[in-house]
Amino acid sequence: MYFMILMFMVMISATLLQALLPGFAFLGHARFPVLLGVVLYYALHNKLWIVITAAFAAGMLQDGLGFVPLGYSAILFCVVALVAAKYRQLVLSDAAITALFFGGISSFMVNFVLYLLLRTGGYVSCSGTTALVRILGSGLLGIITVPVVFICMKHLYRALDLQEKEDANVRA
Amino acid sequence: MREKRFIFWLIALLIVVALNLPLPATWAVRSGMHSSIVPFQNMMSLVEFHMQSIFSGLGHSAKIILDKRELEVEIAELRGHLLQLEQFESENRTLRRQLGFSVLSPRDLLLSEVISRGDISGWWHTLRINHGSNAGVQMGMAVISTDGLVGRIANVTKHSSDVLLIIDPSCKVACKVMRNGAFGIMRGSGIALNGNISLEMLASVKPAILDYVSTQHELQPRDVVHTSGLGNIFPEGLPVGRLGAVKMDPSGLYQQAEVIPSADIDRIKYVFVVIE
Repeated sequence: MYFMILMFMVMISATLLQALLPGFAFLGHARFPVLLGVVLYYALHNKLWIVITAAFAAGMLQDGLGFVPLGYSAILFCVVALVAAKYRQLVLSDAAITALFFGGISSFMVNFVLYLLLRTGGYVSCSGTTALVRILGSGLLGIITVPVVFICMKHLYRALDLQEKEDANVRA
Repeated sequence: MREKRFIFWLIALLIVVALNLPLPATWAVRSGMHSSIVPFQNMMSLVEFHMQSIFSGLGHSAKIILDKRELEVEIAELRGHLLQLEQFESENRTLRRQLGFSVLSPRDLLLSEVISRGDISGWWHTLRINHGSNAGVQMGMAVISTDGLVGRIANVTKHSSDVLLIIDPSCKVACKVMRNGAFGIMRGSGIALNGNISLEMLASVKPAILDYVSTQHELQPRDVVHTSGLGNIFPEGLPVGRLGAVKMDPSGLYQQAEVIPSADIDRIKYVFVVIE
């Protein structure tokens, strides 16, 4: 229960941070993928049902607070989280390179598929070049943001004495 | 194990439900999420404002005193103008009545503060303001600043609203060139991809495009553009911007012109919702 309340508070903080941090024009105004970073952290450090709950919550928050139709980000975050969780035994989940790699690839893929979904549904009408810059930009921001999110989460869980529990979850 | 599987399938079901929610239910979900996050955003906006005030105060105390004096003079001048305008308004009303014209009702403007910028997913250019349906804001209402049109309300909750900016490619505005009355449809072009490497790169606005302007009207750079009121989305006569470069549409049937918005959309802090 304590873990779930903490997860909820982390999600709210990540949402606020993502909404607050401005996008860069030269990266197509892509946002810092803080929520995705949190989802990836849970995917590499927790049990599957926690991973999927976190991914769903993060996706619904992103969709509900923006203009994206409800469920689009939720489904993409769940897919990314499941893929990351599937391969976590093969990688060093605490290594910076893991966060960097997963951050870049996931952010790029999520934004690419999201663009396709939004474009097909007629929700966005930006030019192909702008979309490409934004998707590449989101990949780059993923590389920058996710390692930072991982460090913050690691420190938070260590400070709250929940780190060992998480490590046990990964081994399980 | 069974419990975990249950949660997994429950979330899969919730995603399917979310994807197929009817519109009123979607609005209810969004409204609930907005209402829970807006107090935090208001708080952060307030903190940001105070921090800015403190830092600018520390660095430029002498300038602030001068600015204050200038503002006091400006307020006094504006009060004088206001008195004069009230006299003109009263005179105009009397004359319209004598001529048998209907008396124009003044626009009701609701001053709102910008509490966050940009859509959280990054795919739309938006602003979030601190007034919602409780203050009388409704979907589709025009939003202006002291300089010109800013956008329209695209999402309303009880205590906040999202404004789709005129620079967003999905925002279209029926416009009129004031010099010759030429009509056109303006659409946003988003942001510039090659701005200067400075803080300005955070939001460098590209000029919008005025499309479908008849070739019978000659357009000139710096022509003033206002809303035409056609389509009943934006009220007539709101200042939009000035024309930039003019060229022929690739089809050769219409003219196309750049429009530089008059509103300073990048740095806007306060806006007015046009309540009509």
